[in-house]
Amino acid sequence: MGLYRFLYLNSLGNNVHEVEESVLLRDLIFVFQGIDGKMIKFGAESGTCTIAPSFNISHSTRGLVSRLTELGWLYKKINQYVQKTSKEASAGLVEQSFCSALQHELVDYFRLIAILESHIANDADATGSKGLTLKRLLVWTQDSLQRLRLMSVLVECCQNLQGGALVSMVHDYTQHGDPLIQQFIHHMLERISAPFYVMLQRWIYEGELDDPRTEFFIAVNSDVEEEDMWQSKYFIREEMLPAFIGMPLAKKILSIGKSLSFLRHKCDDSDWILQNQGVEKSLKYGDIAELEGSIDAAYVGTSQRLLHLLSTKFKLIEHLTAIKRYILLGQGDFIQYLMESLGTNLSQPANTLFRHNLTGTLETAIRSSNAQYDDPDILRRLDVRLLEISPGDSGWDVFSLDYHVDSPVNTILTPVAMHQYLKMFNFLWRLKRVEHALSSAWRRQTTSARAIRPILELVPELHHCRIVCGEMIHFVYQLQYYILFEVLECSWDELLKAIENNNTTTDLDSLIEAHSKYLRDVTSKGLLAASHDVNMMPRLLELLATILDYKVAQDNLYNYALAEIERRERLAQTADRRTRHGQWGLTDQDETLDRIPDEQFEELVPGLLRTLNEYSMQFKRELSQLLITLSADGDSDLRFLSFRLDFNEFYLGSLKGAMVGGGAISSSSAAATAAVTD
Amino acid sequence: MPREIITIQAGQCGNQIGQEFWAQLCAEHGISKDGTLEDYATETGDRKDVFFYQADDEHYIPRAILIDLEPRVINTITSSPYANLYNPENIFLSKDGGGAGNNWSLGYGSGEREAEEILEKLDREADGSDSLEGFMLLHSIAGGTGSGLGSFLLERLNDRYPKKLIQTYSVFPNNEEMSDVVVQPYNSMLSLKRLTQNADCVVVLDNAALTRIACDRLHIPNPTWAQTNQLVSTVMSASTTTLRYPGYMNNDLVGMIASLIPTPKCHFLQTSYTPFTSDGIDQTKSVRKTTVLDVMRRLLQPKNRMVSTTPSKKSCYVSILNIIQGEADPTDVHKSLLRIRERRLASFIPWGPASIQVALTKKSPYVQTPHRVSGLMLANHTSIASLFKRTCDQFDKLRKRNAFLEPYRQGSLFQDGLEEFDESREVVQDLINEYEACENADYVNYGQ
Repeated sequence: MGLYRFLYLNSLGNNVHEVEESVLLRDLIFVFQGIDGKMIKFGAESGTCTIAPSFNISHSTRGLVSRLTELGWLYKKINQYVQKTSKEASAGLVEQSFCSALQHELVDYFRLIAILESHIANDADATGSKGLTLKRLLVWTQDSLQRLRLMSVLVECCQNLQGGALVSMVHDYTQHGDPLIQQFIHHMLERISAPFYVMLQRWIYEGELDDPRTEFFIAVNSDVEEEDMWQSKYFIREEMLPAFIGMPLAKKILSIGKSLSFLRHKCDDSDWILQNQGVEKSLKYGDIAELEGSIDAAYVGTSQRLLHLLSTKFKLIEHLTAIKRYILLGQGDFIQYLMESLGTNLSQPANTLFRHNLTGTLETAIRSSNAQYDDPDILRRLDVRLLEISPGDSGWDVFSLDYHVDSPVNTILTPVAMHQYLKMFNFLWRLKRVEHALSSAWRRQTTSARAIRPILELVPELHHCRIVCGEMIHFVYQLQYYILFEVLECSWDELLKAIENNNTTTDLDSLIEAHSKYLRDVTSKGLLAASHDVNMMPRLLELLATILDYKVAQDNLYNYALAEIERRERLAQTADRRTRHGQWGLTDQDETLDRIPDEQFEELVPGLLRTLNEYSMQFKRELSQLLITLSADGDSDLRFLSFRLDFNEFYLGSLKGAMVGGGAISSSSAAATAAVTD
Repeated sequence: MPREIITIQAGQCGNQIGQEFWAQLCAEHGISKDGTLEDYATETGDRKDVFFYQADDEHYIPRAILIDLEPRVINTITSSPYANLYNPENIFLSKDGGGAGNNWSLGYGSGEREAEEILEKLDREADGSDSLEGFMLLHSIAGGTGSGLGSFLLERLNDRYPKKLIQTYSVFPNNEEMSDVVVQPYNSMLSLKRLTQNADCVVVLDNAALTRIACDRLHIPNPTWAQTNQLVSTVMSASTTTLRYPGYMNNDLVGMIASLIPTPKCHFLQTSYTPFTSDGIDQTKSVRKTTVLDVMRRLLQPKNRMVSTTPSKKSCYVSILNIIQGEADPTDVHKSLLRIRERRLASFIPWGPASIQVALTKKSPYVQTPHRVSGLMLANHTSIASLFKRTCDQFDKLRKRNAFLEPYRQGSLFQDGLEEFDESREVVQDLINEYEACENADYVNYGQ
């Protein structure tokens, strides 16, 4: 076999003498183009080139040749990738531009080969003059070799990479220390990233996501509901984010496009987009600072436009104010009217309420209060809503005001946010109801005081009623002042400041965040849930219910007392009349008649007083428990509420007193004092 | 549905205060001197209908009844630029025009005589309102008309409108110096009885304090009536702001005074106001820094109080409501309350919870003031009893000598004797006692 091979090779190489350099050179030219030469062939498996050992080639020359064949090997690899990718239908735009960049570089490489070839041809004609040698070839191809190496590395790395990821990968090589390589990569990147910049440009100037192969770092979620468009339609795919774009910048870019798309689809403001897109210059890879500059400019321009539209055309602040005035009960006269005209209705079972009756009342309430001067567009959104009825609910439990918002404001005032507002309304409305009940109790006490003064036996009891009532009024008022100042007004102030401040509210996202914070503050502090240690709401509602019970009991007492006064007056009149006619003022019959109510007095009144006393004790118990929980709370505002509720340290004093008194303390206040000392 | 309030101004002092009050309200609501709305008055945050109603020609007319027994003050009003503001049918002037001669009894008697005509005006005014909250009487208690006729009206209003509230702004005489009206203590005592029994809320203002404030705070050596009355109208307009500019709370009279007056008898409120400025007197030393805390602290200082009382060691606040007007930062309220308690700037009753309530209200956009923030304090303080005591002392001195009683005997109440005097004295003593009891923890069991 050796012999055959020898003969064969001999026929190629003419003789067993050392193979001439020119032959090798010519072979190399083939190899450079990824084609097998006469002697130098690509291995089928490894892809590396070998020269059959049988050729008489000196060891050093072999070394040289093998070093030179690397070029061919690299070329082949790159070319394969390019060929494969350009045939692939699924290849992304960036991938394609990567191929084109590679091909562009390969053109240079071909030029080099052509030059080399002509040299070899020249050398062949002009015999003797050894123009091109293997060594020279090695030197001459160094530059290309370096590039091809780099390209092949890129090809290697970028296998299966798409879009932004590919750009990032290539971009990593700009960190190379060699300025030549840096420059080369930079050059490549300009081409590779061209489609990326086209997408970027369409995104930040038109708000269109033009990305058929999902290569951009912003992706769309097409199943999103209308009102969630801003929040979740577009998102960042980090893996596609080019390395030269940092996350903050990416977020800005996302925001710009989102804003534009929002402006176009939600705010009907395509005109503005059209006017503004033309003026911008085209973006390309290069100066990151400049890119940032353009993005910042677009960001500021777009966000400001969007915020401006929201606050002018879409009246965002007006809506927020309206919610504060109506849902959070700021418009006192309106709420008062509603309370007075709905009060009796709402005491009925919930299933007897009819929405149309309530909306009628709502309209009257608007007309008869200062609400009537509000923007009709705002008032039109105000509505009555009946919450889901559970068995045993009264109208109070299910009645709610509602405020309708539509696109695009519902991006900020989302259904979830509105639900929170309604929860707040429910609580504030209950509180208002209790305040209203106490006001009417106070009015009753005050206006009846003169009439029932003659019932001397009730004087101390009524005095006591007044004091308990005063305590309740103090509680409800202070709770409301707390909600008004510490919760509503302060948070509102913060919200307005945040909205007005261009440094904090830069785009819709920050606006949404500012509003969410406001809503969070209002609900968590307002519903006494700032820290999640203890849920105080049940106790608070219990307290409010106790107050209402007390008020009813007190009404009964006053009803009785007034009836008693009437009876006494009637008797006196009868006596007076009879005396004038010369008869006895009162007869035995009258006396018996008289005794019946007296018996009632003896039976009824102690019962009434007992009930009153029970409620007042219950109130005090619950209140001291609440105070203890509040004063131990982690949230400073809630602690401040306990400070407000016990400004003159009356409860603190009585708790201490109970502690010292020892024997008389009830189990709950003992627990209370224990909690205090803890 | 406004909670209307009908203002009754009786006597010289009442009408003078009233005149200033209405001028102030007009300015704040952008109503011109003849009742038409000014062109610039386009703000819609206010409720004019609490104190005004609109005539068919859209003119705003005060819900006010002007009553006097001598024509001088009312003539000044009807010849002033505000002449056309008032409903002429609401002005009552007694036919003889002789006045009450600083005699309570005469004033009361005129009331009895003219009751029909006066009450007819009141009824008409009451019928004209949707949901009348109550009446506001402006008067002084020292003279004849305001005190006597005012007292008569208080009694009648109680009978006629038992469910309506009655608030009064009552000017007490300067009992620190001798007055030219020697029977002042009698008049005061008889009026005080009605204020105790027939009114639901009395805002006490006394001339001694008003003069002192005019001198010290405004640097007017000899303040005129108009100047002190302006102080009163400032207080009145400030204390009605929450009614006129509806907000989250304190939108009606009950809502405002329910928390101030826990027990019915102790319904005498003191006021403080800061900072004072007055028209035409520009030498007012400007109060430079006006934060909420400054305002609230100054309101607690006795020198800003518009009643001269001599507090004892046990004197304490039953309740406080601060109405802060202007651009106040809501977060400041929090800090101010903390500071006030830390420093123990106010002491409170020992028998129940009490605190400083704060209401923030907007300033009228039509009235320019040099101060960013101003404040009014309405307070129920037990030291008010010292004022009543002083009245009692002066009364006792006269009564012991049975001095100057003759003119009173002509009145119907005194024809059968002078028991009315002693009864009044007793009522006032009860009042003093209750205020003193209020300073103790066992007030809860008072009356048992």
